[in-house]
Amino acid sequence: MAGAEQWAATPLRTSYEGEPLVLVAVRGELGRWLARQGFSPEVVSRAQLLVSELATNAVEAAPGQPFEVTARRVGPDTVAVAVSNAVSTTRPPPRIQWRTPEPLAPRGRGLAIAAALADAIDIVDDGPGTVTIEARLVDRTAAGGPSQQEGWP
Amino acid sequence: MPATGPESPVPLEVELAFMNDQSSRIAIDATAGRLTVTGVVDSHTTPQLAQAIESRGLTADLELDLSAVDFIDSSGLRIIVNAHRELEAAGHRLVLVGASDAVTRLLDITGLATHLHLP
Repeated sequence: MAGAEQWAATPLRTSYEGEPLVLVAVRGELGRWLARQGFSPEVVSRAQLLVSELATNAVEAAPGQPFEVTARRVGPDTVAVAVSNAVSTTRPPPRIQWRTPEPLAPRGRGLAIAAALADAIDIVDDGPGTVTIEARLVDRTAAGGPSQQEGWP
Repeated sequence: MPATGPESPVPLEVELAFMNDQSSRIAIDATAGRLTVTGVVDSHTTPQLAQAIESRGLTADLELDLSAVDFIDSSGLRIIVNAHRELEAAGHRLVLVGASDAVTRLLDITGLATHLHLP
């Protein structure tokens, strides 16, 4: 696991056009950044699904509009991944509503899945014309220690 | 990616995985009663899956082999759940005859593992 001296590594910040075809690049670029930061394959896998959900939401909320993905280390074992819509006419519901009412519901799973994957998640910026959802993921797989389960909160 | 700041070299197996991940491709093989899906199932590729399922109709059970799905998110899950509901309403079943780890993880998170017909 990366040591404390790598805290100051350059954050990831990329803008993408609001089209579904960019999702593979969103997942790939975040995964590569996380791997270079020394995060475990478990965190990489979890983050890639999480960012795919948030980015899909961003594209659906503001199709054709650019959205931004950022990732920054906020602790020796913690990364904050955020997706921002520059322009959005459809705002996400309040955090408290991010639970699918029933498993077989026709839609509405994306944010609930993101919440299940993250150790913490919330809307961090809801100003005029912008919405940012940030998730924090903690890497609990310590090198040399017992392997951790891929448990969901 | 510009290499600024202290960063760990990426292990070779991780690089290879990312090379494969550069393709947001889906392949759907249709044989009698079964669709075999390979690759990525996200909002970019789900229209193809939806079309493949729709062209099967609702007149018989549908087997879905997802054992070669490398990635799937809620967009793909939406297609699967809707197909499940429509087939059930028509008196038939959607049966998952294979599920990759990516699929299983998503079904576990969403509580759908107990609602769908799994292998």
